[in-house]
Amino acid sequence: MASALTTVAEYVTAARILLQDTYGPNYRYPSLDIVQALNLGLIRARQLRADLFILTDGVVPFFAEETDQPVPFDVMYREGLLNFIVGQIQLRDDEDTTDARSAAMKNAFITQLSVGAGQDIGAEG
Amino acid sequence: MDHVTRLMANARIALTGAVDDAIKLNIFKVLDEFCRETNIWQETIEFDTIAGTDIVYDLVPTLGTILRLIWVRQGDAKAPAWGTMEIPGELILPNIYTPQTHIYATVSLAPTDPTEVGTDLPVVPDWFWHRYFPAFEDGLILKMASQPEKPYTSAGLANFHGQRWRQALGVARADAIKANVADGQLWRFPTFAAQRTSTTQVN
Repeated sequence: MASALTTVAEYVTAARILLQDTYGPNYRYPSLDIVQALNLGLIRARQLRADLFILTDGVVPFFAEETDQPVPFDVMYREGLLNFIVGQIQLRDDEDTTDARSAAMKNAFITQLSVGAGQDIGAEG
Repeated sequence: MDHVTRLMANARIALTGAVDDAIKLNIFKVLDEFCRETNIWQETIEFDTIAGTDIVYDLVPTLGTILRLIWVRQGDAKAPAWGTMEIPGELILPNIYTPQTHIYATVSLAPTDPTEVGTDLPVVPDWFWHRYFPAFEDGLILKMASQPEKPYTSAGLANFHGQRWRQALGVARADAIKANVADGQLWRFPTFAAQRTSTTQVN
């Protein structure tokens, strides 16, 4: 399902597409783990870009489960946050190819937020 | 398109990846610095002294917050008077006026801090936008481009717009002194006497 990455559930669904884990209900990666990766991504974003949290007075939102709760994150950087979630989830896999992919996706997130908007996974990985 | 919308649209084009809340925050910084550095925003507040009672009067501007006291004048002739303002907004007259006297106190102003961070924009006189719009754009790009580790960080851009911003502050400062009169300062100190030299030996 196409989405604009506005809610927690939409991030989880979009992450599952990149993780090739779309057939439920017995997913490989539990939803709660993906939500936790989202929380970690927001914490990392707060370190890199405090200006993305002006409206929340610098407070980083926290989500306890997969819900339809909105994620207050600027539309320009949502794809970057999704890259972080996928990279974070793939850290648990210890195959060499997955390690490289995980690092590339997390680096892409950092690059997108702090250096330039044009960086791509293909260019790095 | 109103002036702020146009300013934000221009900023978004120059500053790749800048979020609107950060742009709004910096628009306040630009307008605030502009007023503080130049005294360009002035208002004359009029009031009657209370005969035989006090020398301290609280001044309340129509908009903004008071920075400095520029002039004090008194009576129908608006004769120059004396006054101080140790605390901005608190005018102290030299003596108790008896009988009651009409006072004109001209103060410089800065925009009031928006009540809600990122969602509100400071209010300044409308003529500011017509007269100094390019300066505000320079100031905004300077402040955004000089932030560290952002997609829109650019020392070159900050330097270029920084020079133009400082130049605009100088122009506005002169405008405030000359009350926006073109070529208001026709006389200047003669160059042959510009150096301070003393021919008298003091022992």
